[in-house]
Amino acid sequence: MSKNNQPLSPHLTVYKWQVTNTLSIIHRFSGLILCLGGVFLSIWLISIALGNSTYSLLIGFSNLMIIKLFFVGLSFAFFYHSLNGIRHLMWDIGKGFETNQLKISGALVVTGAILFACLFWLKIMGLL
Amino acid sequence: MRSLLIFNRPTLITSVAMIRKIFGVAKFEHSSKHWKSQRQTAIIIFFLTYWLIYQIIFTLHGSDLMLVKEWLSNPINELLILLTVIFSLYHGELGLQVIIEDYIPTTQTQRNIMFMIRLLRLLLMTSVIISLIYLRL
Repeated sequence: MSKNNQPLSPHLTVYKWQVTNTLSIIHRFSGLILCLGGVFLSIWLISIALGNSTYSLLIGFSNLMIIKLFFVGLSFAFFYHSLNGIRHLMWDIGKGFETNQLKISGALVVTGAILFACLFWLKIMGLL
Repeated sequence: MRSLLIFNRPTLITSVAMIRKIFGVAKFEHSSKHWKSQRQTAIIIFFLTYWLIYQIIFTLHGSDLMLVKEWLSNPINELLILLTVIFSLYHGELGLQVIIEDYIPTTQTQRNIMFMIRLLRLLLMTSVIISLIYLRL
């Protein structure tokens, strides 16, 4: 097999753990989880067209404890990825690169994601 | 004045390019275009997914098939959920491509995995489109 000229990205173990790289890794990981979420969304829409038996099968599957836990993770991943996405877009227009700005925006994103996800689940469970 | 026309040539070319990309007929994009598409789709799905979250909280959560079908019978909901799925899956593919380029050493393996992901995305996307058309019939 032909070897690529392009260098490989250094693997996760070589980094010293800091706020910035941890948030970046979480961004990528949450993106991976959201891909599964996108697949679920598609399957949900397909199951609606397939009719009642398929739809109730999917709902039964969603009520499994492990899938419920996945949805909790998915909601955190969604709010984190969308808020950190704004941060990435700000960097793309050249803003927010100072160390203290990075720390402040990072902290805002993490608290915002946790807050939004908690509000979401409180609203879903009818507690709010 | 020219730029106000929707169907002037540049717009037509970009929309045809976008359709080609979405239906997987175009080649895998090169770095700069990939970068641009990733940002464009990110901005689009930012609004669409928050709309979906709003819908989940206020309508979709806990509804049975009848209610969901009623919700989907509104053409605006149907269009927006379709756009959400199409652009999210495409954004996901672009993101996965970056991860693959970062961590898979050989070009051939990278390509193989990318083709498999693209195939899966096209399968899901066309199934969703067919399902939504079926629900309209």
